Amino acid sequence: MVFDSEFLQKLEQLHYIARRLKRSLQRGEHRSIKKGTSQEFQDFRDYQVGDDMRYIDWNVYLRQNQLFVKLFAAEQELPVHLLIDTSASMAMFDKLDYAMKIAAALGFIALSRQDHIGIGAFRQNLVDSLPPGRRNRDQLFRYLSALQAGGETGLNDSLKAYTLLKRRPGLAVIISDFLDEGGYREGLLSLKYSGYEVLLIQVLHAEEISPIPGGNIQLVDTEDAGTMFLNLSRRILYAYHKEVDAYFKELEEFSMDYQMEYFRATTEIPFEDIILQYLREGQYLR
Amino acid sequence: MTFASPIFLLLLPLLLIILLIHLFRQRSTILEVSSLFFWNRVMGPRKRIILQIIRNLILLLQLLAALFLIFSLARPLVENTSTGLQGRQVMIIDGSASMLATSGSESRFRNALELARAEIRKLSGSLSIILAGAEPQPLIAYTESKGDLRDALQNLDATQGPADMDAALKMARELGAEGITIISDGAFSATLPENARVLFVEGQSENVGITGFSVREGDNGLWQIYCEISNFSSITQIGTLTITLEGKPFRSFEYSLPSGARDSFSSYYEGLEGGRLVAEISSEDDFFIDNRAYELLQAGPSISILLVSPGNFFLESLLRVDSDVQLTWAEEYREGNWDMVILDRSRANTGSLPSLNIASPPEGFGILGQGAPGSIVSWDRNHPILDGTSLADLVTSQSYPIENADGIRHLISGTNGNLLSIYETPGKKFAYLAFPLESSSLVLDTNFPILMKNILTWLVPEAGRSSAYKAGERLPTEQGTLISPIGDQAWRNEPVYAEFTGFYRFLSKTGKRSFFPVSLNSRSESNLNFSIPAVEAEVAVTNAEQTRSPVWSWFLSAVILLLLAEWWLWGKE
Repeated sequence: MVFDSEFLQKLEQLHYIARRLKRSLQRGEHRSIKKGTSQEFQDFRDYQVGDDMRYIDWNVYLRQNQLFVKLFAAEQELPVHLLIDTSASMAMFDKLDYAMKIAAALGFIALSRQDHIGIGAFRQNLVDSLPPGRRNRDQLFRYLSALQAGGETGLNDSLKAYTLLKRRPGLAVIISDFLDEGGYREGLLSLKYSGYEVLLIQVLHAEEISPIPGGNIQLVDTEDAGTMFLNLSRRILYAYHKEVDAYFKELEEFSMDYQMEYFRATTEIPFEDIILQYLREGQYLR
Repeated sequence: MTFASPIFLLLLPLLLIILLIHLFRQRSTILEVSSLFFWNRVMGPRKRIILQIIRNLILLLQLLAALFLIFSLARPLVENTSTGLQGRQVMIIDGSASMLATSGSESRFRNALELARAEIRKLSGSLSIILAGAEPQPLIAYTESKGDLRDALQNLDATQGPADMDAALKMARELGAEGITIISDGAFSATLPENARVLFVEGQSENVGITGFSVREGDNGLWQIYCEISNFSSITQIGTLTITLEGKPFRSFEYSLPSGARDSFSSYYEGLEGGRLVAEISSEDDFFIDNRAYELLQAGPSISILLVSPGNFFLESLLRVDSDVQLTWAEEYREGNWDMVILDRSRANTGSLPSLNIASPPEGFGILGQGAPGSIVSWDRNHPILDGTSLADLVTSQSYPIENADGIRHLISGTNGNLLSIYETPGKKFAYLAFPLESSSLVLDTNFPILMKNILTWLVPEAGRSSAYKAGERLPTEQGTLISPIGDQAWRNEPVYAEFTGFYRFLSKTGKRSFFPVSLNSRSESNLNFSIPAVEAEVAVTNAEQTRSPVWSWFLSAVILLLLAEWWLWGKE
């Protein structure tokens, strides 16, 4: 997997916005809602015994004869967990390749900020994972390049299995088509309740959203080889669109309800644009 | 259910084409998708089952629509159950000789019995059955038992003579029938009551037959043998007429008759001995009864007639050449030992003596005034008086139609009233010609001698007649044993109707032996191609086909409904 140098330079300028990361045991380069000792002023509060005298704002004391302590945003490290769906459905329309590129780019951003990254590949269950740690770019790319698609999707089991690994929580980026009859709720909530901040990236192809009418067809599922005979009429396509929209809305509402970030990408959009444009516009990256 | 055009049923294999098209449509292209996730939501298991049912239903509807379309083309007929007989019903089955004609493989009479059985199946009231022959024969009294009614039709056959439908209808009325069903080939002429309906059996048949065969003693002492053959078939008939005496052929004639034509053959017999004469034609037609005729070479009684007339050249000439007639002319009526009297333009009280009245009705009957010149409108062609005549071209310059009265029956109707009427009660019998003979075209017509002979025979059946009898006539068989042509033997106390053609043998109680030759000799019975409108037009007529209602429109409507349903289901699919 090769990124051009210009793209890599652009990636180096980006870093994650971990808005709701609650705690981190190590100092890092990411701002946190936890008040810390970075150079970035955030607020004042009354002086209390034991506070560091260096942070008393003497100018305010002179004007108001009252002691206030300046608070600074805490600079914390943000572990990034890249969880990639490698089920057989991801092989269609090169969705897995697209997902790997996004994962590689996001991993590269993390590495360039000295963040720890962990990687997990899942199908019916978690099939492989790398614990969070500081890695080099080659390790990351090599690992991702080795991923193969196959088997059915099991989002719930896979994500629950990942939380059971007791990794240090951070930002969990789940890249999948989310086409799982078993659902996603339990898996995502287990991540959430384990302290992860969750970013969902749904990767689909345009034909999956808007199939082309084709008369009598026999559909064959790539994952379980299930078949279905139908006449791909406009009436059925209309019903299909309604189901797709309803599912997207359901996923959006779920992520909103549980304070997760959700982003949907189609493979027609160049993945560079996803990283440099859409994720920045969505304030997932800065 | 039967089909009027079953040839269209050959289209039934086309249903296979629909089946093949359906199977071909099932051959869909295979499309690999990443997941059936969304498709399962659109087409859940329940929907898929419904879809499969709809598809099968569409195929079923298409097949049914095609099947019904083929059925509608084949013009299906179903038995009309709505006309089931209700209440007290009488069924009259025509047992005339023409019913013995074959239509296809079965005789008309067999077809009539089938029709009768079909009516019995639909019966919802009580039914009595009458066989109409020379005299009506009640077969079974009113009963609701369909089994008994069917039994009454067992071993039944038509007679070999004409049927008196008037008498059968009269019997039905006397039985208090609420409805009358006549099953016939149409060879009858009767005024049908309002509650009567007619079921016709198949009517078209080919026939050539002997319509006249008689022997008389000529003035020269020789026997004159006369035979008439009529061709009622649609093609020219060629054959041989053979006359045998006591089984030995002594005359034969070749005949060639175009369709609709008739020809007569005559010969003399110079022998001394008498005997049984049989005329036979070689014909393979649909009606065998009239292929043979029977006569006797024996002297018969002559008829004594008093002609009361101011002078009538044609009538006198005709009667004088008839060797069977002993004619006495008078200007006024006088009593005597007459068999009958002819009153030409004169009136007289003749008592119970049979009479032919010409242009002046008998005492006690009036006229409706003088009619202007006119022509014939209709005539009762099945009455014995008009048998063998064709009076369509008869014109009269004046007429004196008789007033209607009880017992009067009009046989010929003209534009200016009735031209020939008859009257018959136990004490009186006459025929009335309403026009002077010399003021009509009749006297110049070949029908004139036939008509007059028929009138004389009707007025005085026992006297002056040929020794031959027509089937259906009464044989003078008082107190003796009668053996029919088919060998039935029975003691008789009174005259009986001749039901079969051939020679009847009669042994009187005094030991005298005599033969009665019985022939059909009837153009009306030999002509098998009757036109149904011969029956009174205002009477509701139901023919055999009408008892099976055509239901093609039902099937066509079903096709439209099926196609609409299929179109609707197609949209659902």
